[in-house]
Amino acid sequence: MSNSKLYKGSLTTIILKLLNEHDKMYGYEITQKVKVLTKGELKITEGALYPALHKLEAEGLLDVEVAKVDNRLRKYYKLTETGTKETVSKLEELAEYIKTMQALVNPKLA
Amino acid sequence: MKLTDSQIQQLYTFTQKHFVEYYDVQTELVDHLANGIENQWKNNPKLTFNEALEFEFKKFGICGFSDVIEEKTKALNKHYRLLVWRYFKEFFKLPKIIGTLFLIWSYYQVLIGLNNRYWILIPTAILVLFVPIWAVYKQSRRIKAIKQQTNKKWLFDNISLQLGGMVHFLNIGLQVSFFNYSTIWSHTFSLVFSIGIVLFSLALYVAIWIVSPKLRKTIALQHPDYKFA
Repeated sequence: MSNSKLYKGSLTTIILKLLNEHDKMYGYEITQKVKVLTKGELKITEGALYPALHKLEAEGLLDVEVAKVDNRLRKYYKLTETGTKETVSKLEELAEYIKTMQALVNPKLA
Repeated sequence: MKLTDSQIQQLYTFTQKHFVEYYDVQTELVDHLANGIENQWKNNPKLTFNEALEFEFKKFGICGFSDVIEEKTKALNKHYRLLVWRYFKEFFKLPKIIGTLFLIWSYYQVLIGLNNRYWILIPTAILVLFVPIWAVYKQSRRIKAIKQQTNKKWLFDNISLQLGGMVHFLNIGLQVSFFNYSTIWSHTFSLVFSIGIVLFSLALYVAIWIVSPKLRKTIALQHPDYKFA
């Protein structure tokens, strides 16, 4: 997925968080948004993004809408109600993880 | 600079050449490649279409699109089975559980009541083997008709045809056909057999007549190009 293996486990959370902030997004848009937000530090590869999106869709966390844009069809993803709840829980999990890691690597700040 | 219709068509051909045979998967990949190429042209307008395409394709890694197809198939199969499980569970909640128990009880009564079990076991074998095979055959003809009319194949349809991987369980129907009917069956065995047959038939009913049509309706709502045949 990225330049660091540390990000791998967080791909799902990143996708859910982005979709939580936007009404709907398509695959390419997600890769570009992450690149911009992280100033190029994190690059989501295509080979990791689509399997993750399809898995979330299959689990009922994402809904799909296909629309004609310019001269081609575009597949948009948006959060379902379950997806919105899952985003909250995933973000809490991530915050807890960051806190724990902080306590481990920098006990003074924790 | 935007891609022309002919270049979009070239992208569809490109995905086909790279073993993406399903239109629903191709569509997403074509849009992704097109966005990537157009983005490259913003920075370097002199880049040819083929050069930009090659660069975008490399981003998918050495396996190309195969990981995407494999994972998408896995995810859809799982989705299908989850739907089957969801609707199957309904038969064990009120009010449907009354019908389920009644079916098991009726089958059991017929099984132990008949002098010759063949009168119930042969129709059972037909029901659990030939009816699903007939339904799958009908589906495959529908898919072929869509392919002939539109030149499109849908991964979605293929998952439905395979009953989310459950198609292999049709083998159970075959086992029933070759069952040793001449031995004496205890009441416990007859009851277990009745439960097994009813549950198996319900799972097939849910997959073929509830989940598959629902999936087709979902894709028809999502995808403007999908047509029922």
